[in-house]
Amino acid sequence: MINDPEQLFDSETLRTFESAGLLARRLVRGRLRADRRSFTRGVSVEFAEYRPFVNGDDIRALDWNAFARWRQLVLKLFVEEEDLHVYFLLDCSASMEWGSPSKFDLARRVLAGLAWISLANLDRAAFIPLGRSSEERVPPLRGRNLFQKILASLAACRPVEGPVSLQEQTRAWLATSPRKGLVIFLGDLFGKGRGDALGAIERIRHSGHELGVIQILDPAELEPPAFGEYELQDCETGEIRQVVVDQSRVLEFQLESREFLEEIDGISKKFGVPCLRTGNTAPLRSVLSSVLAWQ
Amino acid sequence: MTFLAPIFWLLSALAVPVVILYLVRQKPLRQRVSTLIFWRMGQRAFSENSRWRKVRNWVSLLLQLLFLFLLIAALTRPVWPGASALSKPVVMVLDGSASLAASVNGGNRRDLIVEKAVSFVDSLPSGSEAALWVSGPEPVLLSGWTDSRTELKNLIRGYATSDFAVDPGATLESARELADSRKAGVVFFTDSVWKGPLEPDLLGGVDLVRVEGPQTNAGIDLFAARRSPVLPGEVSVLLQVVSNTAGNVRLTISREGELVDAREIALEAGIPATWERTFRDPGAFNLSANVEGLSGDVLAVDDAETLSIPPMPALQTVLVSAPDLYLESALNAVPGIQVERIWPAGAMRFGDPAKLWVFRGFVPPPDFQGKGLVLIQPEENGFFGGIDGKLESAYATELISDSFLLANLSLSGFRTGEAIVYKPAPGSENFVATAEIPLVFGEWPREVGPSWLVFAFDPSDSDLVTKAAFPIMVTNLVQSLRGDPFETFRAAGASRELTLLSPQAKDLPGAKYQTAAIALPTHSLWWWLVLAGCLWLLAEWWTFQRRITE
Repeated sequence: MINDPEQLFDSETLRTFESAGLLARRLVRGRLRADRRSFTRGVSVEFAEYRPFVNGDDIRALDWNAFARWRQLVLKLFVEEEDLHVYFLLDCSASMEWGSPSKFDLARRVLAGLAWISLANLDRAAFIPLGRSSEERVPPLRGRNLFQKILASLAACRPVEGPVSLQEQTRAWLATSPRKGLVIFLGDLFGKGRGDALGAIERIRHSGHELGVIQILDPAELEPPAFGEYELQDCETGEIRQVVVDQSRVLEFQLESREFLEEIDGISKKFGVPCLRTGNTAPLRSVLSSVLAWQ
Repeated sequence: MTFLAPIFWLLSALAVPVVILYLVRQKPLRQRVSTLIFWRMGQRAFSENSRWRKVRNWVSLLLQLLFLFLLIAALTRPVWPGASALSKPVVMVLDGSASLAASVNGGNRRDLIVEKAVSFVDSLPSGSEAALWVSGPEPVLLSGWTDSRTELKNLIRGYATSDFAVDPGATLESARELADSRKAGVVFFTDSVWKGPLEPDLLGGVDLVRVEGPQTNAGIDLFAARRSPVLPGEVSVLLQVVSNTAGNVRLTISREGELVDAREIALEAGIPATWERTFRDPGAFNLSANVEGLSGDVLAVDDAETLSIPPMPALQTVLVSAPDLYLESALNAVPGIQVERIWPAGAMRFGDPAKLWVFRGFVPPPDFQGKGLVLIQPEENGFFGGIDGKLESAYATELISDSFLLANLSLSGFRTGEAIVYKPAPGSENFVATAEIPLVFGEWPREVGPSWLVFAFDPSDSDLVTKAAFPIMVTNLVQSLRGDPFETFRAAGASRELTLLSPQAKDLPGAKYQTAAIALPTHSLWWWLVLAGCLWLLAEWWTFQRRITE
């Protein structure tokens, strides 16, 4: 696992994606004007619609040209441009430490890259390590100068020893009523059980956030071991299961893993949740490009 | 209880590694995985009753040892008390008759014989000796006493059957003599279709191992030809088809590949249908016959036959005489004969044993060689006898021989010219005489030396030449020198006597049919146990592979 922030995200990669924008597909609310369109009508240069004048409206907003044409007082409304809150939820369960390089390393580098892109586009970026204490969370930050803070938090972040319920951790974070924004969920989605990660995704989706999922897997995880007798130990829970791997077990394993992935794909298609599945050895640039292609 | 192959008890040592395999616990490989969510099915599969899981390995071990014991017991081949007859030497006799070519279930009866005989050899106790006979046209000893099962089995697999029905009597007699020398048993592997019934004594005490019983068959029972002894060049052909069930067959006859006749024949069970035809050809030719179309016909060996008819033998004739129109004409009229005339005869001393010599007046020396010697009015005494006077003229009144020479003709009543009275040599026979005075006499045919015949008169000076009997007599004379005038040519398959395919040992006393002593092990309980044991071992091994080490 990489602990050095410089190694997590080198400066060349940062420059490459500096100009890229991370755009949400839906309009979101924000405190400051930024590059995102908002539901709120505002003072940007982009025309939105006309609205009949009612008492109390600012007469400065009247469109006199329209009055001259229609003989009716109407207000000219413009699209309010607001900043976007981007929440990066990182699965810090022990299973993320799997692989070489570990899935956790790739997840942190991808997270750092996306956070940099967000900050470079005047969005707010927040980091929520699922499974870690709430003190380790980084609240929504704005401005590139705060990127180092995120990097430092990422570098200091460690996988949790012991089981982590993604659904419970997500529920706890959502209970803090974060402002609506874009949630990027990074992890292997293994969770505490078969439906744990899916439950977490459901919670985020129902809370009104825009959601994107980046699933990082080690290809070896989807391959059963060679035939023989094994005592398989779950690295998260420490549970030991005796398994005799033969042809039928291999088929069952393949069926289970395929169903698991298909379940995630099904939710992604059904609810329009973009999902990127990548291996732990995938190049960072490639992963980021794929995420940017979501828009 | 004794064991025929106790050496297999050494396999009991296999129990040791089997027990060790069960006692040694294999430690499973511990491996960390990122998640167990994909192994849920495996967990369900092993959530079984723990009490059963505890005793399962021990039950498995006990069953393995039990079946190992059964396997060993089967290989050692236990013999129950009273069933130990196999421990003595045995003489095996394999039936070699052509009926074994009858097809049975994709193979033939010979295959069944081989299968049973090989199984029998396998069942022999270790070290016991056996001899092997095959009943062919002549008894064939394939192997003397040997304890090599491999050699016996190779000989059994390679033995050939005859093309004809075989009388196994001589073979059984030889086998019993051989068996008596060692107080051995005799086992006869047969389909019980033989050439005629066997003497009941021959099968006394012989163990019969029988294969397939009666089956449907139609075939050529007889295909033979004979040249006419009278008409040179004429060949009479006779063919018989017989079936053991009623039905229609199609008979086709070809001569040198060209169709001569084809017809449907309705056969009744066991009653031969005949086909006859006369050909005129002094040369050699081949006839082939084919019978087909009977439903269920299992024996093909008698469905087609080829009959080769040799050419009529040529006969060279030498006439030692002054020119004689009648004799030369009469001889030349006989087909297949070449006549030459020599005169004067003074230089004739040795002759040719392959030729017919006709002398007129001249008497050849006693050691003159020839196939036949015909002397017409010899004027001196000689080997034939002596001159005893003269006759002015005579009527033939007595025909005192039923010789082939005088077949199909009558010489009574013809009148000779001047004749010489001879006193025939002892052993000669009067063929034609008048008042006991021989007119035609001689030794014809003769076992040793040339046949000879004396005409006491000159045929050309008699009225014999004007009678139809004269050329017939000359033809008979010539034909009789062409070998056996009644020789019959048979097809190779003639007298196969297989057509009925009926077992003939059904009710013979003394023969034991597959007694307990020679029960073949093919369907023995022990072999089923071997099979069950092997299957169990496989299943147990599969279970062993899947077990969780606890």
